[in-house]
Amino acid sequence: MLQLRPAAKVYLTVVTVGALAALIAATVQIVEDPEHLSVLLVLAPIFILSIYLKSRMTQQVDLSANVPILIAAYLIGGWQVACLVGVSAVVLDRRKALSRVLFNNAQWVLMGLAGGLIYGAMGGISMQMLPGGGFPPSLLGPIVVSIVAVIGVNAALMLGILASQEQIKASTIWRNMVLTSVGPYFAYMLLGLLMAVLWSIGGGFAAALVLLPLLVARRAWNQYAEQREAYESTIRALVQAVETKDHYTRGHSERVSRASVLIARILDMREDRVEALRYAGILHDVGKLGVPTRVLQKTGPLSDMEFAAIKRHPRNGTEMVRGIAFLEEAYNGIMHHHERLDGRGYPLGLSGNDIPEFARIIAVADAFDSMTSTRSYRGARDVSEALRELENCAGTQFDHAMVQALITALQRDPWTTVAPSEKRQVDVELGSPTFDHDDPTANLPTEPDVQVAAEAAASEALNARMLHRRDVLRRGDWS
Amino acid sequence: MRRTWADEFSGGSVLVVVGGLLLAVAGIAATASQPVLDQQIALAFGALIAVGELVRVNLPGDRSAAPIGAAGGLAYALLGDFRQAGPDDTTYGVLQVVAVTTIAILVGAVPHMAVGQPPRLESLARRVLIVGFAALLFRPLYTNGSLDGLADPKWQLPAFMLAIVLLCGLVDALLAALARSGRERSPFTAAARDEFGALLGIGSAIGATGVLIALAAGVMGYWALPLFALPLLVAQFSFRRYASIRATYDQTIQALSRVTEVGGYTETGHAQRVAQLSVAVGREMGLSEDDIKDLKYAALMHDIGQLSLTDPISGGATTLIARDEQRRIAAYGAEVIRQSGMDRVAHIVEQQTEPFRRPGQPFDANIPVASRIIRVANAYDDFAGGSMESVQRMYALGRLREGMAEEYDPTVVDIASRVVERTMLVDV
Repeated sequence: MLQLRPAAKVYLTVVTVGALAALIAATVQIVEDPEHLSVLLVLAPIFILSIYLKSRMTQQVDLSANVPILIAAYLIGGWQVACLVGVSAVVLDRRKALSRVLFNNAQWVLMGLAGGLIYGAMGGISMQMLPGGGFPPSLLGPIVVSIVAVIGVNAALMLGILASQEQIKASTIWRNMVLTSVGPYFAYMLLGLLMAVLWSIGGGFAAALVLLPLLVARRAWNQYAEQREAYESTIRALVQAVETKDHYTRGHSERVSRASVLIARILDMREDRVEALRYAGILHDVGKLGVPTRVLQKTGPLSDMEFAAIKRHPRNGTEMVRGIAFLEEAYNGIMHHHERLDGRGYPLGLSGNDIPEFARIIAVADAFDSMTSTRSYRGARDVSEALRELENCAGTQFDHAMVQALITALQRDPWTTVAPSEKRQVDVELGSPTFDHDDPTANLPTEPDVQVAAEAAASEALNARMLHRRDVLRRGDWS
Repeated sequence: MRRTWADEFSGGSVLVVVGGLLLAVAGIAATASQPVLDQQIALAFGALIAVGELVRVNLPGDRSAAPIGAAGGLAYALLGDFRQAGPDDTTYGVLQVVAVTTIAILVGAVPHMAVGQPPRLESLARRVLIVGFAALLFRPLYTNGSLDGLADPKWQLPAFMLAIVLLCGLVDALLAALARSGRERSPFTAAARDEFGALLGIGSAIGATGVLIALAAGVMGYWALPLFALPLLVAQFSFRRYASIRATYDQTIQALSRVTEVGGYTETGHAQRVAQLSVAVGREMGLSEDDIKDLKYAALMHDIGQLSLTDPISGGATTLIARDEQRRIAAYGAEVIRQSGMDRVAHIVEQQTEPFRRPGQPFDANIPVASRIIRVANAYDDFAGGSMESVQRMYALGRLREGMAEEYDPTVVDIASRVVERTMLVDV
């Protein structure tokens, strides 16, 4: 069940009451003057159908046919029709939390209300009344301004709920939601306009035809989203196959990827770069395949030859993923994740800011996960202990900014490990310290008390929270 | 895969290209001999078609298309009254439609040619043919006034136009299938099935947009052209995203198929060669586009199970080790692939070790055809070792024929031999 914060409760009440008032006023007007009732009767079913189709899909990316319908509704029938079209889908809303149902439907109503009122106030006339189907250019001004109002209301309402309930920074919302939604909204505007114009030429039948390209586009989007999911799970599965070569690194790539993304979020990185970083994190050790299993699993000190074999893995990995059209940055992240700030790392011995940003992030995430998970020669360490160690090595081995970012991120969303009661002793082969190429403290003696990282369940929860936020931002729809 | 002139002009492609060329020449010749009618309209629609050609996309399944160009051509063919250009009626005929479309397409294609990515001739020719066909169905009826007699033009005219674009879509799919079956050496029926499937997607959006532009331009004037092309642009954008993730997926699987090579388990290029041969055989056997995709992925990853081995087997040649060991490797590989959600691919990989039939038993229909193909392609590559020498290749084919009684599916071996012998002529 969704726990609402007090501020969110007040906010939600205000929004819902506002929408209800608008609905009552709209109903009264339509009953008194049923001139545009036919518009409502045609558009409401299409609107409901469009919502229904949408709710059956779970992908994050979605093209809404609802906004164009809403816009067409006020262009043809005025704000009254738009409000009622906006609320029509409430009958099929299957979201579990009542608060989400109320908020999202109220949002549709208020968007329709704002667009319709502004359009009317600026002298826009019903598109059904167009003389001979011609389109007077004087209507363009009212249309554009009314769309800006629709965008504004959508953004303001989302800002309110996200700030009061999800506590996302306003600047993040502005950049990720408002700016990215302006483009689509103007496309929606045109679609709404086209529907309205066609209504005057060929009636509801022709108007509905406008939605066909959009539906096709949406199907392609869904295929795209499905393919993307398939793609991700493929990479995961194959990386897991790689990890079977070394039992102690199971889940390592996944966690490094997640920690890298945490850092990137604190750095306010652009979404497509975060995406590339995520892949780079997952694939950062894929080059270990080229290292003989014997060497990877060896306990005891390594010979120079063996160490050289291990040092080749960033290069090997980069080579392997070279054929994939990533951002150039992702290659750099894989290639240089073992460079050190003081220039004593490998493969190239880069130092300071010559080391690509992705590599500096992955290096910190890599070391952090390596310290907090169990290895053959020692147990996992506490998160706080690992962070202290990272801070100690900042400046020589790691970038200070990245270490701080990780600390900040983990204060916000704790890196979940199992509860102390579930702690259990693991057979630790003491006395044979192994070389661990990821662990900055590999040669220091460590305490035998062990905390086993709760891999799947714990980090899953964190990931779900992050994904939820990302989706909310992408969709502009709080569900 | 790289396109060559030989591919461009194989089988059905030639028919389509020659047909389009003849029509285009006839149209331009006829139009050049007399003044162009409704010049402003011709210019506007020509511009739309040219822009559409400029922003062409590659759709999934190696389909190159210019949706906006196609919709613009259809709209020009179906345009009736046009209120903003003097007298209401448009007077141009079928051949002018062909001429304007052809010239606009060529203009739009120039920048692509300049950067060394010429569009496929067959797809250009097909567009000219289809637009000409639509004009043939509509313009004579419109110019002789038959359409004025419609009882209720408000819905009958759009319905008539929709019927025309539907017919055009069907003909286009048939032409595309003709060209594809020639290019990929696949049976015509299989290619037609794939093309009709593709028609439902962007094809319906193109048809609808063509009708909408023609309808709206009559009333709104030139504004209708860019405005109504916009939704199609959105659709095109989505398809491009889809195609690009498909391509990334493809590249990733290709890259990861090299994982066993980097790990020292298999010979360099083995997975790639097995995939290439498998796909060629699969196409000739008439597998559908989706099946080909699964076949390709399975072939690329058929050795992924070798990662579970502590010590690599000699040369990575699974054909030469005991069946039980083969099964164990395949099962592990299938397990990895299954975790990634590609169940069908996993099944194909799992079954690749099974012989075509067991002694004294009839052929086992439960083994997917893709598994049988990969089994043959893998064995061929293990025997031939990637050699381009014809002696080595003949030896490998000989070994396959010896195994036809039980190990290898005779049909697959036959087709594989044909493919190998064909490429031998080129490579040696």
